[in-house]
Amino acid sequence: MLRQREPIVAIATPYGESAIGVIRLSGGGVWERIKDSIFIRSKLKPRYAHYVKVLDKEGHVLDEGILIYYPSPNSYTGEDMVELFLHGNPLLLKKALELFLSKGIRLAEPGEFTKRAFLNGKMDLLQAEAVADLIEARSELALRNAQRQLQGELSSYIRALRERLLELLAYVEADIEFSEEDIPTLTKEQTLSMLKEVLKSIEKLLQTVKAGEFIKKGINLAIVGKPNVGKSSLFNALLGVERAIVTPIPGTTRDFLQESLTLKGVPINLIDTAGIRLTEDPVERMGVERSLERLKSAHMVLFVVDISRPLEEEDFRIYQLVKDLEHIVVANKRDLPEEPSVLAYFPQAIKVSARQGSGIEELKELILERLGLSLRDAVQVYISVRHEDLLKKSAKVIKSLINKLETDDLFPEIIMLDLREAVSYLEEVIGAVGTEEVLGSIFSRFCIGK
Amino acid sequence: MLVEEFDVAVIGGGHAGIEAALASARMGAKTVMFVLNADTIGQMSCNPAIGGIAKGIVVREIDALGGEMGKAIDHTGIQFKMLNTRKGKAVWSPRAQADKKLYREYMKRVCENQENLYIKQDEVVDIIVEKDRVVAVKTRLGLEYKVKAVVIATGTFLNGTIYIGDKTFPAGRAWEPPSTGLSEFYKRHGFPLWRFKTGTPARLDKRTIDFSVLEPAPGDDPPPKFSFWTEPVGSYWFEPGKKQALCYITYTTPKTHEIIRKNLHRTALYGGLIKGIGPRYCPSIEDKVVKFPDKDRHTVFLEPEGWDTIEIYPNGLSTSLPEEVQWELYRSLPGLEKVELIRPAYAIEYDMVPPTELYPTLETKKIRGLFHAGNINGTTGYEEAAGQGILAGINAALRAFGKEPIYLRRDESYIGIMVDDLVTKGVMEPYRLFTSRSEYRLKLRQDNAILRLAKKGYELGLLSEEQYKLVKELEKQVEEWVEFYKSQKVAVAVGSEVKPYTPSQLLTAEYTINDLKRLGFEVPEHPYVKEEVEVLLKYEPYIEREEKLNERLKRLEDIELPQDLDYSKVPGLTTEAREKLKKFRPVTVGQASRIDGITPATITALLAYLGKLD
Repeated sequence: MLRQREPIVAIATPYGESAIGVIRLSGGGVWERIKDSIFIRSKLKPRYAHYVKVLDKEGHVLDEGILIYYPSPNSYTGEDMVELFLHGNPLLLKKALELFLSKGIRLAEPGEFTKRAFLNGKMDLLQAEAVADLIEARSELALRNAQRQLQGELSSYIRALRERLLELLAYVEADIEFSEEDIPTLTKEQTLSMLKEVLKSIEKLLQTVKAGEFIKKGINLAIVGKPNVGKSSLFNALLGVERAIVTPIPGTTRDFLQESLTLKGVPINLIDTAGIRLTEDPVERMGVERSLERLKSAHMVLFVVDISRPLEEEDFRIYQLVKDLEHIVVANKRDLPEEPSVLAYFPQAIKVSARQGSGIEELKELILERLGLSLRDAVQVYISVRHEDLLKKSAKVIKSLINKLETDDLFPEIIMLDLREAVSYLEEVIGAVGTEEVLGSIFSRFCIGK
Repeated sequence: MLVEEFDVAVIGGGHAGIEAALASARMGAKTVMFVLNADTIGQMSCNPAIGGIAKGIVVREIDALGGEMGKAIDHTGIQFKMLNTRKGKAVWSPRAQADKKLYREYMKRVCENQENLYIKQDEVVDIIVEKDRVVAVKTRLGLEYKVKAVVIATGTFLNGTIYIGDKTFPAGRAWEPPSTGLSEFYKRHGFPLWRFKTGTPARLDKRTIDFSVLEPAPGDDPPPKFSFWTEPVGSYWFEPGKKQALCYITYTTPKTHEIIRKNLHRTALYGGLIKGIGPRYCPSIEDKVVKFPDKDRHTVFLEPEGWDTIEIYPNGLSTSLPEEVQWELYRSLPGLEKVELIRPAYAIEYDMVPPTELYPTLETKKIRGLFHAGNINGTTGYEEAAGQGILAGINAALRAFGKEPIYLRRDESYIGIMVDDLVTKGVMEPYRLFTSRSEYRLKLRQDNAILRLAKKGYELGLLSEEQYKLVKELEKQVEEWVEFYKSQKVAVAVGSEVKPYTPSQLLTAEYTINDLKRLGFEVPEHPYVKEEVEVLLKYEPYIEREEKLNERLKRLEDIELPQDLDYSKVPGLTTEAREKLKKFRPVTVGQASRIDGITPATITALLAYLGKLD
């Protein structure tokens, strides 16, 4: 017997005009609650597309559409469910929603449908988490990572670390249990080296959290440089289509532009800045300030110089702004005769020609590499923020144990305690019994109606 | 032919049987103990010792529940030691050498003088079951005794077979007849029967050992005792100066290992005669040599079997090699060059019933009123047996009274941990208790066994009013002192800095209670209170951490699973999980979570079904 919870309702399709809008309802006896408002010609059949009319309180037709009834337990949530396919008018859908709310059906919380599916054993926690990832995935890489988590690759990586700690634990245990019998024990040096090895692996995994966030949410990439060094051309070259207005007159690109593109599967939020330059023009002044603001949120800054002309004071002034940020110096216009002093100042610069499109592939690769996203990288699992917190806790315990061991001789039962704690965090990552907080944080990621 | 009526029958007079029979009788149940030989009640079949790491803590727990093992060893011990004293107090454990004859005589005397307890020298060959309930037991000669509950504590006697090289004969213990009838009973009722194996070394003639070349191993002074109730009552230490025997240490040599390798095919185990599974943790010397080929020597303790016997027990040298090879083998050790053997070493194989057939009350799931304790559950060790024995005896008596049986939780005792391990995970090899089996190691210590379990012992009627009052009084004092040490402050220099600390903080650090005395603080007078306060405050922050680590677990422990729960109706379970849950019928979600192959997802589904998730 499945538990039927109180009925909930939500609009399951995104807000906005569309051909079809879906209203989803779930909960014990949900059909009974709404049937007065539904005009239906035939007897209600499970999982059958009925043509129906939705009637408002006065009995007027609100809309007509398709209704499907899924009785428990054969539904997404495992409860009785109704899905209504109406016309995709936001106002109309809102009125229908209000109609159902007036019948004492509660508005669903984000992710509540999936949470109920989980609570009714329709899917396990990791699956549920992966479902959210799949819905959110904005790039091929993110999709692939979600699938990998679904397949358990991250779990097996962490399980291997756990095994290693358990092995160490076994040695410490043996020292307690068999102190009377001469059995092999670990020296302090061996213990320390095992601990350090595990710590290193955890830290390596922790580094992927940024990359994991990048592949889910994208990289904020800013392009700066004095006017007319070819920032817009570079933007276009990276994007592959004409977007910003490109003219040979300095200061043409006034509007801050944001356009999504992906670099080898990683979403890039490319920020084309209004030229950061000294100006008296109040309109341009505002653009300059906004550019400076945006700079701070960038994960990567492309600092563009013109390789065909000597550097000017403004180049250095802008460089001052970006030199402490994650940045790449891009020497553009390599199709023109080269001015040697530019590379003398910026030997690390990567030479490209935005106009001809040469060096662009290398630049893309460099960006990914610098952000730890290079596809050539061996690590193929990326952790999420939830995992990060637990892994950090585990790393912290191990680190403090290493410190204590290096300065002191500890009783084995105290070492044990630290090891057990470190192990317990790893176990929580791979989906030990979900506490309410864990569940809450996972399901809050869902949009309403899922 | 029905001759008499009893509440509880205990089959076996070994370490499990004794505790079961005594507990049952002391709770007021009319109890009968069946033994094959009334002279061997309390016989130590193998080593002449009680206690050891984890095991010593179990003896204290048995004592706190009003059991006999601790008192028996205190009265008959010839050497006492606290193990692991170079490590923290949480893993200390008492161990003692016993005078085997005195131990046996003590136990027999206690059983003989116990009110409500009747001893019968007879073999039970069948148990009569009606409507899945025990109603009577039947003896070899055809007598029937009406009973309400039965505790099976047959040890290694159930279909026992001894192996010495290629010689083999039926026996329950060296040259004593085995018990054969009950195996049929189990087969008839659909219980699986497995073969387990254990072994014992030869006994050596003390007069033929050259002790002058050996390293002596003395006892502790003051010696630790096991029973809280042995004089001086109210502590776990004897007065200093107790007379104690010496043990000696010797080692195997490359020659020993060569002899073993050369004759390996002649052992019962490697020769293929023994099919039973032997203990990994108390292995025969041939096992050790095969499994650790890189080790060039193994430690052997030479332990006297008593004050007035010349028999020496060589701890670590059990074997199933032919007797003539045993001679050669033993004589390859330093000090034993001219040793004479009194009794040969042997291996023994016996029937056991997988403990997954049991509830954590030690009652079988198939037959109400039928309880199992000791080796029949696949355990090794006197202490493990006795720990199960007392629980089985208590529950058999409760069944006879028509009351609900009890079970011990993992967070309150090692007995609880052992029983939970047995009934939840089952055994693939003889089970020995370790402190590492406990996730509550810092909480379940030897020093606080009495504080953990006295209340239960008293409520069951196994501790007297007076005894319980003393424990309560000491517990109160401990609490008051802990409170006191937390409320005071004293300036102490740490490095160059002088800062105020509470005495409890100082104890958690390097300080001892005697250091506090030096700083001008009053300290507890009662030795038990003093020790307990020191341990408690030293470990307090760690115990808190341990508690936190176990919180989630504990929550699951509190959620009971109805015994009539229909797992086929719980959604979201894999077929495997469903089958396992149906088979094990766990009593709590916590127990379910420990069943092999039960995943967190299964537990989540269970919690969801029970409505305990949201």
